[in-house]
Amino acid sequence: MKMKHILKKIVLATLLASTVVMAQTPYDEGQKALREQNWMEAAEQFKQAIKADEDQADAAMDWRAYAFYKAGRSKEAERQLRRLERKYPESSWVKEAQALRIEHQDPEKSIEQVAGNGSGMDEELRLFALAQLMDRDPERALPLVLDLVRNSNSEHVRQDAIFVLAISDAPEARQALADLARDSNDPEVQINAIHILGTMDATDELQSLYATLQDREARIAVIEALSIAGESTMLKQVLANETDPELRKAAIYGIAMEDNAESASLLESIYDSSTNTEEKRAILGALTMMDGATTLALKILRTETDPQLQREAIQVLGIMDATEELGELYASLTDRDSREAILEAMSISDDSDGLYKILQTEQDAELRSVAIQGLGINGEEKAADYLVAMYPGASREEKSAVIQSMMIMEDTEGLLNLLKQESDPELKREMLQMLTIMDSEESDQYLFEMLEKNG
Amino acid sequence: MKAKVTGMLLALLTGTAWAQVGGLTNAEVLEQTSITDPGKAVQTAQGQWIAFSMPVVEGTRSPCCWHGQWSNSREVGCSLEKQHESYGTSSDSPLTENVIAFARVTEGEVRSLRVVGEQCPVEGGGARVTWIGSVDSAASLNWLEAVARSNDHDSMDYSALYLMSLHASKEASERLYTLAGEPDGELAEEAVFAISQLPGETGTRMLLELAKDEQKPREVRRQALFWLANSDDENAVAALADLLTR
Repeated sequence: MKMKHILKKIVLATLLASTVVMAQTPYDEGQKALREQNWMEAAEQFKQAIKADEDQADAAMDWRAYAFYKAGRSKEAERQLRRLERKYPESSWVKEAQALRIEHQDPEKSIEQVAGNGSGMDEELRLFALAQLMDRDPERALPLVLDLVRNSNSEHVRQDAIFVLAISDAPEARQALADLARDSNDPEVQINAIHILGTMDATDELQSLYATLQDREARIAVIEALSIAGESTMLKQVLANETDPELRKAAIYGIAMEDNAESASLLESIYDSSTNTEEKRAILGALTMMDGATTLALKILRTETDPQLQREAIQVLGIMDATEELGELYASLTDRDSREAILEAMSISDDSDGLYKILQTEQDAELRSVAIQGLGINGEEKAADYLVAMYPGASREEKSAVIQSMMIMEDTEGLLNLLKQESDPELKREMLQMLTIMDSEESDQYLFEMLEKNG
Repeated sequence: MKAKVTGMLLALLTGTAWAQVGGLTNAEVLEQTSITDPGKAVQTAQGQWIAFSMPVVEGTRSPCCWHGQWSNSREVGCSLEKQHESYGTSSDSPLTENVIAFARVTEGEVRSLRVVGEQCPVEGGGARVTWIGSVDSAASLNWLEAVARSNDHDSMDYSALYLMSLHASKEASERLYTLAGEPDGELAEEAVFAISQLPGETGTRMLLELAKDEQKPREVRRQALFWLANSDDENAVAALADLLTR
């Protein structure tokens, strides 16, 4: 609610900035006066706006009350808000008005309203009021926020209530979060609270939590929170002592987020000592989160004997944009599977230059087709020209790959040019199938124009 | 002898009798061949299902239900009540001159429509089926078009359009062409597919016309192009290639 309220004001402020020159209506003049912090002038303009434009009268009333509050004239503001509620009870501005009132009224009154809920406040509005009160009177507001966390039927309200605790400076709020993280009956609230403790760098609380929690998901959340807090010592302990693969996986990702030489070295030693394929796979995945792990990925590729993990290491190099290393690997590795994986990795890393280079020398039709498809996936503008130029001298398999690449690039004109050159009925059919499978308005338009011209 | 004559007389008077309906088994069949309009049969249906026989264009293969997929599939026959893994024809399916349509009627409305070849076994599941035999060509077309138009784009309107594509009358293809120009996008798209299933060169010709027609919606023209490009008819593919590159 608070965010929504603030956002609405930001949007209005932005609109104001862009319409300064054009301001003509009383409503616009009122907004201009607000921007200039000329509160009473704004109140006057909004008064005119209420009379002048029925469609905007509710908004003008709310803004007039805002101007009064800013001018320190609370009673007039309150009167204006009451008028708005009375005259436009169904307006969306009524909720804004209630929020405005809460923002400016005596905290005692807010506490009474929220605690008693006698003034028809919905949960969202109660939470807005409580967010205001957490700073002024946390001792009284906290139980009410916790009541919403524990008892609201709305997931959205429960999570927002946790956020209210998180942004409070009160030590009681931090303790309440730790309590929720430890023993909330609502798993989503518990995990959210744990993650928030991570953003608050509450490493002491998280470490003691990890020791007491039994639930696997909650423990994973603690590991993630420790990672958010940058607490690697505990993550290393998890890796040293835990056997649960999911907990180890979470810790591996946490270590990778550290992204330094020490974390790379630790992951390397875990990879070397691990006999678990899934764990090795997790480490390879985690390397993609690090900036300087190319050397480690290459080392794993050289020493790994499992072909599938080798392939995944090559993919990781592609994700890391290790184009130079992939080019060198292509020259040094001679088995077809590895070379195919490298071509795919080059495509992942958008390395069209590497693919062109390989197409100049590679003789294997199957690998050439993979490289051609990679060019299509990368979708460089010059790739289409290159593929059209190579088409006449290409093998049957390569031609199919060119057709698929042209489809991926949605190059209708290029495909039609190839269609004109081709005499093989099967390849013509492939081209037509690709032309008609493209879900592009531009492509359809082109085809329709050709049909109309030639039909 | 006397009892047999009495039975025949009764059958003539009431217009009802027991009959064999294609490959249907395990069903209580009531014959009412005095009705030739499926629409009227629906209104007066005494059973859960009505069934009729409809002549189809030459070269039609007998549609049936299949078990398994691709090369492992085998024709097993259909069921009135159960859904099957797959349905249709293969190049090995026998040719048929008629198909049998089964329409489930509830409260005077058609709720389900199944179409099988005369040779396709059909498990009736003990259902009551009113058999009206051969139907009037124009009346059956009117009824099929009405069924296609009246539904919320479930499998039934496709079945109705499919049956229209098999219909022996030349008028059927023209009606499908008209439906392909309807503002109801889904109905139009299904009609384009039904046109692509028309035998001979009629389907190809109509698809080309639809694709070229500037007045037709983009999606209809796209569908027409797609089915031309994926047609089993080599001439359709060649004609499309020629049109695009001339």
